Amino acid sequence: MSGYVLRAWNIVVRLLRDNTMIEFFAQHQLYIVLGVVLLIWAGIVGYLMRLDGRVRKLEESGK
Amino acid sequence: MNYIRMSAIVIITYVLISGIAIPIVPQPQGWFEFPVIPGLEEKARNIFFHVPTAWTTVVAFLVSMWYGLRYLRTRNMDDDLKSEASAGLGFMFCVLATITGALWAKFNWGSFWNWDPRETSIFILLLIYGAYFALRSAIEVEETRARLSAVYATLAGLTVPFFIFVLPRIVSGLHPGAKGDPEGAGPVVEFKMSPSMLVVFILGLIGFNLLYVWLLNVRVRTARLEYRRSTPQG
Repeated sequence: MSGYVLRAWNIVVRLLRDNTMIEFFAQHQLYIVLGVVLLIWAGIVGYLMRLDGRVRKLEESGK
Repeated sequence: MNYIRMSAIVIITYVLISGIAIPIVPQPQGWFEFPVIPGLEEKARNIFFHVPTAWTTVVAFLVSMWYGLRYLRTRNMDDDLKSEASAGLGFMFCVLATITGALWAKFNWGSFWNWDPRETSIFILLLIYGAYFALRSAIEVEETRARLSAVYATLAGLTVPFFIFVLPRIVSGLHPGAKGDPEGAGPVVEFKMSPSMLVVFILGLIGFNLLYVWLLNVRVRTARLEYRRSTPQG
């Protein structure tokens, strides 16, 4: 799991250092909003999946 | 459940991407462009998020009524848990629909709250379901609480189609679909969706409903755990 996060982080850093991408976002600001919304959505989904897993563990321990 | 979970994630992600990123242009050339809706312009994107939220409210309240009715027939406490969980989710979606609607109204109708029939009816629904939770918290005896809540959920559920589908259509107002506006040519905007928008809109409805099913599943399972903990023999 941490390997995936590290790899994703490296990709993000590499993309942010690339000037063409920054310029693209500066010109198409709607995509910044899209990025923010998708990050929030990813956070909610991640939280919900963790919660789901924890409930499953509790159910299994109660059996 | 896994299919529902994955479908909810994929569909809502698609709706978010296409709903926000697809450009709105005067002369759309295909599915990758949305037409300009006069009066709404960029705000038209709200349709993909606000309406599914309101729609999920209706589904959740009707499911709450369904499980309320089932409880009255079976006296199975699990049905009461499902009825309460669904009403809770319906209330949450109802609050979100009210807030997003008020925000949208400010920029289309001039103020956050106009006592438009649609706004009034959703406000009454919030009061009705707020009273449902007040009722539940006021009764300590489990069976009595479940029985009265089931009766209340049934009566409250019966009012939902009236307040959402009937009242706003028989009284004239600002919202598209009000009396005298059967085609969506309202007093403020002419509201018609192109096929490209309709696809994203319908996917939005499906995605939000799947998300509701997922949330309901988690909520019911936690409620069951709480119930077993409070009554070890149950």
